[in-house]
Parts: sequence; C-alpha cells; structure tokens
Amino acid sequence: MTPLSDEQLEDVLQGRADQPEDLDSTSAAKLTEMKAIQARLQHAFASVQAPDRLRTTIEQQVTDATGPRNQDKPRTVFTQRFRRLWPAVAAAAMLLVGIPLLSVAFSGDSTAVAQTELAEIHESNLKPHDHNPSQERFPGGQPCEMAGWMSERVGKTVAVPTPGDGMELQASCMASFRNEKVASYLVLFDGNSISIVVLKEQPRDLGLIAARMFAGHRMNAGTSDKCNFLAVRFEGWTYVAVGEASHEVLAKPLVRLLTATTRPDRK
Amino acid sequence: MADVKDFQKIAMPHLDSVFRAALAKTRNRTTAEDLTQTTFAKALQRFDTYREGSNCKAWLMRILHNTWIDQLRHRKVVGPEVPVEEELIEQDEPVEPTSWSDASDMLENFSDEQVIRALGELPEDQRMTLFLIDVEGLSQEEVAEITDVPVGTVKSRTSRARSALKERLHEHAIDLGFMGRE
Repeated sequence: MTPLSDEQLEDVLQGRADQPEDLDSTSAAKLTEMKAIQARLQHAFASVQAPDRLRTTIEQQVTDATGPRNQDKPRTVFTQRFRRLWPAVAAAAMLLVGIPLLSVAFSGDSTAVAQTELAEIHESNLKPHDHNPSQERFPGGQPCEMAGWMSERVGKTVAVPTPGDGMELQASCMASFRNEKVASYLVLFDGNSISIVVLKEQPRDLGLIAARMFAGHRMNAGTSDKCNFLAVRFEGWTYVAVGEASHEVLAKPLVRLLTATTRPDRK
Repeated sequence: MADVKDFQKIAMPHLDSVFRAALAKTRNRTTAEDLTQTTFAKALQRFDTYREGSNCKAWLMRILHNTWIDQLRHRKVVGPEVPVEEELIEQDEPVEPTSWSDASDMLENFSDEQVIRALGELPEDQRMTLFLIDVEGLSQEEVAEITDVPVGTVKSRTSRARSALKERLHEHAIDLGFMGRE
C-alpha cells in the first residue's frame, strides 16, 4: 500500500499526478475529504456574482475607452462608387465635418482649461488668508454657517459634509470659474487637504469622463498633471473634489457629503 | 500584445471571478467592489501588456493582488514581510488531525455564507491560495506567479489552508451542534 504526503495528495487533487492504485486507506480517506472541501468551496462561491451596478460601471468605462474610434467601419456596397466620387465628397465633408471638429477641438481645450482653473482654485484655497487677502473666505468650524454663507453668495443652497469620520471643514472660499463666482470649501481628510468646488456644469463638461463607483455612489474621475479630480452630482450641483490625493481619498468627503449632509439653517 | 478593443471579449467574462477574489481578499462587499473596479481600470490601461493566448483570469488576478497590496501599503496596514522559511517554521506546529466519517454529508450542513466566512478566517496568504486553486481552478504555477512565491510554497500553503479550513469548519460544526465534542 502506498501512502502519500499532503503535498503529493495536493498534486493528485490538482490532476498533476495520478492516484496510485494501491493508495493506503488513510491517504485515500484524506483525498476524499480534500475533494469534498474543494467541491463545497466551489459551490459556496458559485452564487457570488458582481453586482449589476458594478458591471454597468465597468462596461461603461470599457466603452468609453474603446469607443467610436475603435469601432469597425461599416462596409457597404457603396464603397467602390465612393472611391470614384471621393474628391467631391471630401470637399463637402470638409465643410460639414470641419465645423463640428473645430468645436470638439475647442471643447477639449475648454475642459483642459476648466481643470487648470479647478487646480488654481485649490492652490488658492491652500494659501493662508493673509497671503491671499482679496479672497472672500469664511472660517471653518460651523458647517451650517459655512453652508449658509456660500448659499447666500451663489443664490442657491450649497451643502457641506457633516464633519466627523476623520474629516474636518477648514474654510469656505469664493472663487472665480469661467468668469463666474462659485463656492468652494477646503476639507482636511486623513492629512490630505481637498478642495470641494461647487459648479453648475456637468462632470462631462469638465472633462471628467471616467465613471467610478465609490461606496455605491457613481462618480466621475479625471487627472491633470497637477491634481486629481472626482465629481458627483448632488441636488442640482456638481461637487468636484480637487487635490493631490488619490481618487479613493477624494471620494471620502464626497461620500460623506451624500450620506451626512449639512445644509444652511432655514430662518 | 492584445488590442484594447478585444478587452470586452477577453477580460470582461472574468468580472465575476475578479469580484469573488476581491471579496475573498477584502472580506467586505463595498471594498471588494472598489477593488474590482480599480483592477479593471488598471487592466484596461495596461491591456497592451497582456499576452494573447495566455490565461487572462490569472493576469487579472495578478493585477488585483498588486492593487490590493498597494492599497494596504497606502493605508500603512501591511505588516513586515516574513521570509518564507520563517513563516514555515512558525506555522509548523503539530495539530491533532480531525477525522470526518463522511465529509460531504458534514459539509452539506453549512450554508454557503458559513463556508465563505470560515474561509475568511484563514490568514490571507492561505485564504487566497486555496481560493485561487480550488474555486478559480488556477494552476499552482499561476498562483505562484500571482502571489510571487515559489511553487513549493503554493503547495504547502494550499495543504495547510485546506487543513486549517477543515479545522475551522469542524469547530463551527461543534458550535452549531452538527457534531458532538470528542
């Protein structure tokens, strides 16, 4: 009778070695147990599947990355005729396509400019007030008052995350974005200073295209050479977290904004 | 080298496997979702480094493993690395083996959740090795590459993990009244 060590039994279980015909009864019993545990584990995990919202988000990311520029061009019977007519078609196309292309090019520029402006707002928020005396600023500490101060200035309710869970509100600051006055505030989370800028633009208009899920909330991420950006839509605004921290860290105050919200006191 | 437009066809079918692995690693659904998403974002970015014809599931699992290590380092919760030999000596304590008269019958008493929870109680290296081998059906060589250890270590970890899981389930079976105390 042939006894096998545990590691040899592993090889038999993985199909890397044949089971000896004269395997001793102790090893045979052990192998049966190993097979039973393997089968039970496989069965236990068989029902675990990625949640639908996660699947949708990742599929959207893949579509965004592999989008129209990588799709196969449709092949039609007109291809041969088109070749003969192509100079005329090309001239018409230049007129038809040129204008939208220019606007796309400018939109690329404008999102880059938007991200530069956001990074500048963050940089300005980080400066001590005496280095930046012209900036309208409200000190941190009282979330309701901070929210009220910003809401008054932009004419619509602006919310802030309730401090706690390792997050502090440091100051509210008014800033200029695309020549308009916008609200922003500075939070400190786990040693990272993060600006939250409150905008009416959609994340896509800011070039924040990559969809990400954080704690079950869909957000839009982007990165420039200076900062990372993460945006979430909430109560008609886009709240953009700006900072040098990773997207995972930027998500923390945004998740807190969505789950522990402070709004101005209604008087 | 793979073309990014094949990502949907080659990598996406492994989404459930990656999520299961993330869940086994993190033991938390929300963290597992974030880890899965980051893994796919990185995989998409680096898809040109994927060798066509190789095991895409194993390639994704390696990205998942490295991403998780990076995240733990970022949170500064990774303990000091223990050399393999030292680890083997420390864990080589003799354990009185448990014997089951009918393993399959006994295991049927547990719910899927209880089995997954018992696996989650094992140390991470054992847990992931056993998961990748038994649940995801990866080869010992693939797991060695993913976890960055020699094939011999994968073998011994699998064996130790299986014994440890059996012991856990045995204890739970006694606690739950499926088995009497000896």
